[in-house]
Amino acid sequence: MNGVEEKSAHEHVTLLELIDRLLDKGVVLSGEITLSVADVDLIDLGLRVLLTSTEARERRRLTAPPS
Amino acid sequence: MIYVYAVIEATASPLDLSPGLEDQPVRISSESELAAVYSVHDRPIAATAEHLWRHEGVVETIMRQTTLIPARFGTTFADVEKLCDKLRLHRSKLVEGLNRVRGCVEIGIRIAPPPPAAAGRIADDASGRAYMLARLAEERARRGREESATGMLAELHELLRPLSRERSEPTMTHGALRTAYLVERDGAPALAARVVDFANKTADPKILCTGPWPAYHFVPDLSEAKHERS
Repeated sequence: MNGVEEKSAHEHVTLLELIDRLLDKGVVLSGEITLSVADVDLIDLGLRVLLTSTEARERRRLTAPPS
Repeated sequence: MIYVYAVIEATASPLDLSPGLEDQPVRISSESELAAVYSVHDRPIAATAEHLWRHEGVVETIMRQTTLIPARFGTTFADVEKLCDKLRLHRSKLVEGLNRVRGCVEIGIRIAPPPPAAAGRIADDASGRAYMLARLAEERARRGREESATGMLAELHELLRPLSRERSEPTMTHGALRTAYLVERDGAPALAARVVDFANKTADPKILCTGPWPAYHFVPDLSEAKHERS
């Protein structure tokens, strides 16, 4: 792996760490998270954001106590 | 629309705040001993990388100045009054949460097992038995990688436990075993150095250490505090 590839891989992992925290952790004050996904081509990054968001939302739905 | 970045103590000294999402000014509203840090927008915030990094930038700017509870990305309210209602509703849980993370940051640990060896393509005319045996071999290899990562994390944890206050429950996501350590801000470099030292002695799996982050993994769960009233 050359220097540029290594830097890119590092940034990718850091972004994954960021996404995992911001979309799945952090205090939920409102009980409902409002997210909209930009109406643009879903590059890898956008897809991951969407995927993580969807996974997290689904997990919350499955673990939420029955109303 | 009110977009929330974090909850802090109302007694915190005046903060030097960086611009928020869409370059909107970041404001603070207090409710009793708590305060929320937010910006005002006239449209929903898209989940783009730029916005995620800006959210994180605002939160980290606050983190460097005072104790905070980071809000999840996308936390919005119709107006400040509704936001303050929530602060009032969850007051004791939020105060407890601030006390829990006071003076601390979070360090992330990611242990990535080596990727699976390229599996041979199963011929279209392979028997059902051959197909199932190939799948069994794949599953055994996957479990072996996970067990290797779990064992390594257990070993690493013994080294990090004395340097940390808490650890989040390890989870396997995106093909990596992940956890986070809550550590006093001044102790973060020592903990990170210990991880690097451990990683340098390890060929596989790959160990990565990120941070310091705001304490995202150690915020209060307010879903159990719906009926709390001050």
